[in-house]
Amino acid sequence: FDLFLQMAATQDVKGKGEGGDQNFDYMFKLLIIGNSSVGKTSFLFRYADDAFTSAFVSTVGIDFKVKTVYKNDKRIKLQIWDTAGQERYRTITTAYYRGAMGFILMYDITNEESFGAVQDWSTQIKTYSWDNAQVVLAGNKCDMEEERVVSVDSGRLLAEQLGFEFFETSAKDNINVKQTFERLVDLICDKMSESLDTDPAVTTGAPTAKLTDSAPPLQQPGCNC
Amino acid sequence: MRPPVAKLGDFIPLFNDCISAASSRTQEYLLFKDPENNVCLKLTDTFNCTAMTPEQRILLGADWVWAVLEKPTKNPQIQIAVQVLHLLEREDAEENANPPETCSESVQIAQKESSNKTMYERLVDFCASIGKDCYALFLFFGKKNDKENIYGVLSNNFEAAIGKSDDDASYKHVSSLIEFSAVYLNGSTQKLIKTHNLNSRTNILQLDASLERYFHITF
Repeated sequence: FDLFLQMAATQDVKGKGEGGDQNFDYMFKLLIIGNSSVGKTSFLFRYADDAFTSAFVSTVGIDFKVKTVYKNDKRIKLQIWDTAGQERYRTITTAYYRGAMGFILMYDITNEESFGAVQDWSTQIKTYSWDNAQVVLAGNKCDMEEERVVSVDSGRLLAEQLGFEFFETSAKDNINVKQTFERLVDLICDKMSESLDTDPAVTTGAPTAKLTDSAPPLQQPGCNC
Repeated sequence: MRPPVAKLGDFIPLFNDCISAASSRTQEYLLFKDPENNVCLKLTDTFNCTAMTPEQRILLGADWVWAVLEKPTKNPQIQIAVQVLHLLEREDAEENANPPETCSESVQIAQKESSNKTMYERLVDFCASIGKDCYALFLFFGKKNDKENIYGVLSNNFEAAIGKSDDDASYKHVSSLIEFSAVYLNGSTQKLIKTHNLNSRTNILQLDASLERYFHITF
C-alpha cells in the first residue's frame, strides 16, 4: 500500500491563481467508466455542479472535474475523471487508469448491453489499474422505471460476484449520486487505514489521522423511486 | 462574429472570436461543393462539432473536434481534431513569457498531467491513439501581412514526423512535416480555395497560388 498512501498524501499542485486552492490533506483520483451514453458525464455534473441537462453530448476522450469533500476534519480533494465510453477512445482512457484509487463503473438500467459490458469493464480495471483500486457499481437512470430492463437484484448480484459495492442512481433526479461518491471515498479511506495499521512505517510524510474513525452507516443501495 | 476587442492584452475574447470565426469558416469549407467530386468527407446532418473544455484543451491538445457520426449509434466515424495557433499571439507570448494570471485549479492539474509534452504532441498523440480515421488539423491565424486568412495543415499521420524536425520552434515543427495536406481558407469569400499535398519540409506559410481547387485527403 506504500504507493497507495503516497498517492493519497498531500500533493503539491504547482502554479498560482485565484482558483488554485492548495489547502487539502489528501488527493484522490477517481474515474467514471462504462459504456457510452449510460450517463457518466451527467453523473459527474450532478455531483460537482448540481446540474443536469437531458441533451446528450458525447464525451471526447477524457475530461475531469475537481471537488473537495470533508471527512473527519480532513479536506479530501477529488480529481474525478470522466471517460468516453466508446471503444475508439480506449487507448487514451485506459492510460488514465494508472494511479486511480477508485472507480465508478456505470451501466444504464434501461440498456441491457451496457449491463452486459460490466464484466469487460471490470477486466479493464484489473488490467490497467492496480489491485487496491476500489470500485462501486452504479446502475444509472433509475428514474426511468418504465423502461427498466435490468433488475435491482441482477445489479446487486453482479456487484457481489465482482466484489464491488452497488447503488442504483439517477443523475436526473439526484438519487444516490452523492452517496455513491461518498461510499467510494469511504472505501478508499478504509484501504488507507488498513495500510496504516499493517505497516505504520509507510506513514512517513503522510497524515497520521485515521479517516475511518466515524464511518457513516451503509446507504440503501436500491433506487427509492 | 463580434466586433474586434479594443483592449490590448485581453486576448481571451479575441481568441474565442477567432475560434468562432474559424469554426464557421471551416464548416463552410467542409460544406464546399466540390466540382470534381473529390471531396472525401460526405457531410450530412450527422455532422457534429464539440467544443473542448479548458481542461480537455490542455489534455488532448484540441480546441474542438468535428465528427461525422454514424447513425443511429452516434459513434464518430471520421473525426477532425482542431488546434488553433494564433501566430501574432504566439509572438506576443514569446516576448512576454509569463503565464496568464488567471489559471484555475483544474487547469493547473491538467497542465501538470500533460507537462511532459507540447500542445502539438498532445494533439498528435490523441489522434494517433484513436486511429487513422482521426485527423489532426492545425489552423494558423494571424499570419503577418495576411491576417484575414487562415492556413492549416491536416494529417492522420503526423506521428510519423514527430522527432524528425530539427527545429524546435513551435509551428515550424508542425510545418516541416514529411507529408501532409494543406488547407487555405480565404477570409473574404470564406471558402476553401486551395489545398495541396506537400512533400518534405515545405513551409505552410509559403504556399503559392498554384494549388489545386479541390480538397482531397490522400494519405
